[in-house]
Amino acid sequence: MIRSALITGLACLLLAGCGESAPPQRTPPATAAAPAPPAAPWFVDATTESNINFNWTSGQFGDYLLPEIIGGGVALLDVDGDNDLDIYLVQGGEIESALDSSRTNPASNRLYRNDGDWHFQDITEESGAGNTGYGQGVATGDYDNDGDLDLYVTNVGPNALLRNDGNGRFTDVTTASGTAHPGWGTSAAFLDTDRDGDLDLYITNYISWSPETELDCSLMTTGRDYCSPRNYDAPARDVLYENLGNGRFSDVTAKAGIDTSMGNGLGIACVDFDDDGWTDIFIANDGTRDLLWHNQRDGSFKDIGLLAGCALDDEGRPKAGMGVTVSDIDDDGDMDLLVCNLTGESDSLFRNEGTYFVDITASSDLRTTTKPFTRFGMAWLDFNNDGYLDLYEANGRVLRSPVPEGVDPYAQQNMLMRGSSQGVFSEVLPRGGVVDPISLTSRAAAFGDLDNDGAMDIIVVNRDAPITLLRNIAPDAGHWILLQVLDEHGRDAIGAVVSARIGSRTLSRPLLTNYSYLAANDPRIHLGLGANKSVDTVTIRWVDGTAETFGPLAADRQHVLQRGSGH
Amino acid sequence: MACLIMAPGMGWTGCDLPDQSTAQAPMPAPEPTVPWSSFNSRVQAVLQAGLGAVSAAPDDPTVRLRLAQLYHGNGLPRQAIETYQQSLDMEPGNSRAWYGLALLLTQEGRIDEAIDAHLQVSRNAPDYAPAIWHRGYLLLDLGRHADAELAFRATMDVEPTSPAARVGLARTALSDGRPGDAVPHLESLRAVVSNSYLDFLLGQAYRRQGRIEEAALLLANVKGDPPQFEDPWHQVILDAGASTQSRIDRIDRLIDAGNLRDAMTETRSAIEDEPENLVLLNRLSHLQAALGQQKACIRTLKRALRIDEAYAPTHLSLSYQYQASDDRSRARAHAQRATELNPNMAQAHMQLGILRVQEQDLPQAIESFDTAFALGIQDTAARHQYAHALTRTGRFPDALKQYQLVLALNRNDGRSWAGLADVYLLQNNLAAARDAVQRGLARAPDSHHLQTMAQVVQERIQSEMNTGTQP
Repeated sequence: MIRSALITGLACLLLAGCGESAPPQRTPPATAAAPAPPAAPWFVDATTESNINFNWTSGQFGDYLLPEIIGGGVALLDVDGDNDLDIYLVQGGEIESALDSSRTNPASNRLYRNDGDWHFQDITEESGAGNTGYGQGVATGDYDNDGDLDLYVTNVGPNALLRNDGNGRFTDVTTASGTAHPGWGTSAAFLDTDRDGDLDLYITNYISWSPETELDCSLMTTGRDYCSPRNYDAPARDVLYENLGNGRFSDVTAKAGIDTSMGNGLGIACVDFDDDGWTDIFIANDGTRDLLWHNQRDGSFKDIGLLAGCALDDEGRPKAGMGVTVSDIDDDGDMDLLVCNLTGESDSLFRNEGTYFVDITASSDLRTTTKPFTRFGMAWLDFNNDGYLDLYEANGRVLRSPVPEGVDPYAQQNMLMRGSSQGVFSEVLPRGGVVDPISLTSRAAAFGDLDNDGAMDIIVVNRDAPITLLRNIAPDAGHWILLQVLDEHGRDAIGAVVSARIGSRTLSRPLLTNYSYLAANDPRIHLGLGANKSVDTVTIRWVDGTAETFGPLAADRQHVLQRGSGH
Repeated sequence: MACLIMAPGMGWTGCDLPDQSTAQAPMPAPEPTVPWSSFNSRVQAVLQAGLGAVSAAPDDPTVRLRLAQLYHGNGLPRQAIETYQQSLDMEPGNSRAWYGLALLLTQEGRIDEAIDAHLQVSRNAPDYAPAIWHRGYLLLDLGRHADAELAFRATMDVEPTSPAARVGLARTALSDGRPGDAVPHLESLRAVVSNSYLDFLLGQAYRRQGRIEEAALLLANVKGDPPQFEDPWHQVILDAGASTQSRIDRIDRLIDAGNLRDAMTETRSAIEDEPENLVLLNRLSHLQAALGQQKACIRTLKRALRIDEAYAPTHLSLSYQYQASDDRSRARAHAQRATELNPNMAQAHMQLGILRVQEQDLPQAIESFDTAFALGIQDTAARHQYAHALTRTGRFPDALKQYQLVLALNRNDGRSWAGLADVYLLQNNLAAARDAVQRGLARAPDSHHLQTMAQVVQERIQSEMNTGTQP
């Protein structure tokens, strides 16, 4: 049954004035100087040469089913141990087919093997990774400690856990592992909540939804469109699975206290925010306050988002949280937090002050720059290797533009912002750092060094349009280093924190794959070094709280740092 | 196109500042592209009337300003900007046109231009405080803290008690890492205004000062409500809205202002246009109840149920009405149905909890209250009920916490002081009970609850003394 959305007095549901407006075009400075030559692009579109033929198919046919506007996801991981990143793309398809056990979703997720030279081969059929749920996001982590990354796919409907056998083949172990949560999963993350040496699993759920509860929402200027999650007033509880170490997981949501707060969850990042040696969980919620689950060190978590100052923005407003990225932007050793939101709402940059956060969005010059866009996939990474974190954001509307720029009324341009030593971000033009700005309905973005050249590349998933594969060609790039950080099992040490001493600076980076939006990223730590040709020392704080130091390490190459081989 | 577009931070480009003393040439009637089919008939009629007025008086800047406001209030920002600009070309000193333009430029993300437009307002109408504090908030958004602070102080020159300016000053101080400077503004505002956003800001300030317990108590009650400051010129624009949502907003504003008769008139008029709109029917029932028309109220709600039985707010409204007429059975049935239809409807769980308290079903009541508060209920009276149920079921620490949460917001709440004393008595902590009563009476000497509790505590102490036990 389709019911009318009865919009009450809530602000910013679907009202003009709160909707998505067209982003402003940059006005050139009105000086008498000769026009500046076009800036060199930072990325080149490598989609065509890649042989990847993938559209995230929303299945939209006029009923405006909300999941059509949310997905889909992407993972970068080395599935076959050949030391390059392969690409796993989560597919949508037909929602009602995917949810009906008597029917089959005609679309499936795809796995592309990296054959080098920016050429990829579709190996879905032989890999067994072609899950046919109506896909949203994907998480990576080596849950069985066998040295390769496994996949957890979130769907509208039951999720799927795909175990990697190490040579590019996957086995669906969802039932055996007990991880088939049936809700509307979005972002998920593997993390070791209890420091027992295996990875547990947190799943962010969006809202309680089914095709039968879909609403009918309209805008004054553009007519029928997708509803706001607030229209449904049905936030969903997230789920925490504890890894039992025998291939099975136990749902510990209630035991861990995760059921005490809920929201319209979309984004996730799991790091130790308060430096107490235990991994915490940040959840970006869409239109409800964000959550910071503080690890209580006894298997339980407590939401301290409001007290820590990262649940609302500095206007006291719960924003439409989408993507999340985490890093140390001010070289003080703790993890700062950036959440992106809807048009009209800026990003929220929360600077970590040890035990609480301060919203410094405005002083970072991100308040007005980001406001015109609806941002999803994102990352703080040093794309030009100058030693300072830059910011990439993949954008796309959730409501049609009254004045579309092209055929896709939801399209928006993606953005790239250059970081600086002053802690402010300035937009890189042409927009998005490419010659021809990408203007599609972008959702997930995953980040990694696909050609192992020390420059971080990007893959963007677009709704009902081809993916965008961006090869990093940033001009005047500095030196770099890539660190593959492995624990005693030889698995990527998710949750560890790497601190690299470079001259007078110490760059700290978390080792996490699951951040951005519906995405899993390169598990390696990437550092831009600027003019530095080496790293003095690298100190790794492992998930159990112990530390180990490595180095010095030469620049412009990848190093493998395995626990026990340092000092 | 008029010469109104400014490059960010560069001032006017392509033309000089408008000469406010020079008469402008008549403008042609505007022919903006309006997506007529997207609007309901009422919005179409309002806009066409505005266009007709401009056609009839194309040289009248006031008529053109009104059309701009109609576009603005009805969700047509581009058309509104164009028409504001035409109005300003005719009358460059019209501060209301500058103001509307400033609001729209802000909405469009053209912040530097919006700041300049607000400056134009202040040049022409220097006493209109919202133009100054709006500019302050935009400067704050740009990270220009010193300029923002100047704007907020300038606001207070015009309106010394301006809450918007004082909040702005507090936010500037917080942004500058000066929580100690923010606290006096916020504490003094909280002394006269109860507002969740003030609690949020003060909680943040306390947290940054290391006053964690005080911060936690304040932040536990925070809702995600951004502040709303008085802005009459913006109100005129909002009132120009003719869509259903605009009308519902206007009804709500009238209700908030206590103007129930006008709210009723507006509601009935809206229902004539949309007889099956459940939100409007629920507003009508609310007004009927407030005006003592209880039978009519229930009839309205039953009509709403016939239209859509699965609309949870109607069931909750019916539950309230049956409760008011002491029909607890029906009241509970409808509250229960509301929670079934929408398990996340906090008010429905709260209502169910209150009804269960009345039926002395305290364990079930607490279950409902637990859900309601987990979903974000903030109401003081509800917290009293919750605390009472916790007390009666022996969950003393939880009850104390609930009373303390209320007192963190209002130290003069006699019922909570009495509640604290009650819990302490049940814990046989007579000294604490006496202390709570004394502290409460110092703040709320007229509280009936507290006076009664003072007597109970005194009798208990006397009894203990008689048996030889000193409190």
